[in-house]
Amino acid sequence: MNLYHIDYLAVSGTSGLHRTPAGVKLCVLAGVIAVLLTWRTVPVAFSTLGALWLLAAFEDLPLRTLLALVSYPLVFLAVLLISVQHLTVAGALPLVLRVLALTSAVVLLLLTTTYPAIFSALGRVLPSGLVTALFFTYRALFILSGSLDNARTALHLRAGLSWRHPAATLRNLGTALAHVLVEAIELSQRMAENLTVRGFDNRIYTLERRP
Amino acid sequence: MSHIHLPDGVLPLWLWAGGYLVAALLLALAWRWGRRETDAKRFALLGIFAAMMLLVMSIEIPPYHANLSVVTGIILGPALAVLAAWIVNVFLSFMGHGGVTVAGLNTLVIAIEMLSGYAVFHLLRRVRVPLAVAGFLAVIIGLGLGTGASYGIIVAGAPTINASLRAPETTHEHEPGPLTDAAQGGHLDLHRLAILMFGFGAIGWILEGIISAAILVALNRVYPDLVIRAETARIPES
Amino acid sequence: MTADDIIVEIHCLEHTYTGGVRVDLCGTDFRVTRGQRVAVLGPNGSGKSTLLKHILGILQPTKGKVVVFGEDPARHYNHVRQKIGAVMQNADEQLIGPTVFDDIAFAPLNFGFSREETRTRVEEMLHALDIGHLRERLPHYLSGGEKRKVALAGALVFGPELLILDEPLEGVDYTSRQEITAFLHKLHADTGMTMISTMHDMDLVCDLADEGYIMQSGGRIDLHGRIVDLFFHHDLAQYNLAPPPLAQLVTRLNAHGLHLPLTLDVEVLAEVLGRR
Repeated sequence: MNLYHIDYLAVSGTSGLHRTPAGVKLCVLAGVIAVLLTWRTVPVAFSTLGALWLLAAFEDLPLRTLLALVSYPLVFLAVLLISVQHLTVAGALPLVLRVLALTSAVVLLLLTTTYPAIFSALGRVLPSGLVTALFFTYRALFILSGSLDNARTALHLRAGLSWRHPAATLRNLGTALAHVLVEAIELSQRMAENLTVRGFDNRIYTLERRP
Repeated sequence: MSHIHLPDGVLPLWLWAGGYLVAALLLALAWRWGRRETDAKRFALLGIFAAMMLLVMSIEIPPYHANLSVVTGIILGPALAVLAAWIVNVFLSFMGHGGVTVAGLNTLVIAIEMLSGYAVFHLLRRVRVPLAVAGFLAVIIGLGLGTGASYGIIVAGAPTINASLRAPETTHEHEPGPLTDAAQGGHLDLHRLAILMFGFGAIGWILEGIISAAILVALNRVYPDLVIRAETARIPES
Repeated sequence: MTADDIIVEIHCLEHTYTGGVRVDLCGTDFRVTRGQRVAVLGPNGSGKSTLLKHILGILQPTKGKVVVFGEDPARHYNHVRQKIGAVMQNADEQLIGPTVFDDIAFAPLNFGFSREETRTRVEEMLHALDIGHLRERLPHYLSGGEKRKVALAGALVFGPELLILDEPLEGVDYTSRQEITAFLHKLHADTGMTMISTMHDMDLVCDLADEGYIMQSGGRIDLHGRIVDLFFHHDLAQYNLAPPPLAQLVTRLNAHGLHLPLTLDVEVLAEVLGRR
């Protein structure tokens, strides 16, 4: 899953972009989206894309990861383009460049900003309840991933995943996921208890640090 | 999952902005409905199930990836399910998996899967359809409707997509008389798109249906209340 | 002893879980007075965590009486919750804040402390537990010992009078274990904080508790006494418990006529043996 890799890069990076406040980066992202959606021309898309990649190179960000993440949405764009009749390169180019530029802008934000920082910044415009739910999901992702990995390992070790027997494999997969779900439900109960004990009042606060 | 795997920059502004607006209204309603559970429980459940959905999406059954949208809908109930749909889509956007601008529309698509799956499951259970069959059919119908919604969104956005696909030199031509296909530039073949989305999608629905049915059967052995009487979000006491 | 000195009192508690599993915590009454360090010992499934959850007000008894700071914690939880800090069995599940700093600040902000006071208290806890270097770290990148320290900081930051520790050092490496034990020792010596803990590690019991309650499988509270007395004068095997190796050694050497003092302190025993 991309999330863990992205999270690690965002947390461990030390570039200037990493140090830039999340709110500023989100505003810039909104600006880039607005520009690219307003002026849907090749020069605008191409120059934005070039500027973003130059910035990434200048900030010494992992360009291979950036490329991998940016190319993912292109796969889905390709599915759409398969459905196009009389597709020409000249016709597809603006769309492809625009998608590349927009995705690069989003991925650049992700590689240089921790998820908590993004959620905290979003907290200024979104209701606190929704932001709190995002924080919970983020924590739960890391707590639950171990359970899912264990279930996967158990299935592999006990030959539960064999595509020569697809029906049995799907059933085994379902049963293993049900076990993880049971763990998840129990985890949610314990998390609720922990929240109660710690005086939870429906929001997660983030404190500005002393200078 | 039948959410629109479209990146940013493809759909028209009115469509994705409208998606955000309707999703916001739905979220506000869901937030009010969901208040019945104590807040600590509600947040914990939401977070855990949204995380489960995201984690399960990492299980690839090429070319498909699993998800738990209908199972989540059945267990969480309508209110929390809608909130979970939103959370999942925010994360997908911030993982580079789906466009930031289409998160609102995707929330609606997944919410349709969850809510219709939930309704079908309970309807079938009420007329004593076996659990596994009810789960399987709920997934097929839920994902089918979700795919239908995705297709509808692309159809609505087709004029803009077609305009984007026209080569610049052809869009500025003002020659009299009808243009040939080639001169008009590319345009979406909605028939071909439907075959792609529903044809490949159906394989995914069946895989998902079998997995979901197995999950519901296994879950029912441990927490029968959770599966059978999940009218609202309900978790057992520890 | 005044009524104010009684922090926790439990009488013949019974709890039935959804699904019908019943935990009967009847038997010896459970009472903890101010400043005591009490360990709840028993085999797996004896109901130790259930007991703690009742004290925390998370569960409501089916039968029996639970009084914490003079109140029924399940009914009047808001009255007592600010007086109780807790570190639950899995620290990972307890860390909720986006960063270590925010997580430690979680409870005080929820309890209505000002941001400035919260910041000051968080800084104090970071310093006290020597985890200042972790302040901006995200919880999932911490080691087991670090998570436990952060959870402890989060439980103590608002100044509770009672600290509940459910298996506080389970899965923690040796160094962190020593550090946390030393911290809890100092905390008790400096503040006289009341502590109730459950644990499986009998060596740890000697370090973190002066008195103990022993529970049978199924929940009945069977024994109560000083830790030293419990380890030297009772057959713990029937509770699926074994005294710490030091207690076993002293008992065996005394059986051979050495007449050693009944101590759980290695230093004391080494000194006595050294003198002979």
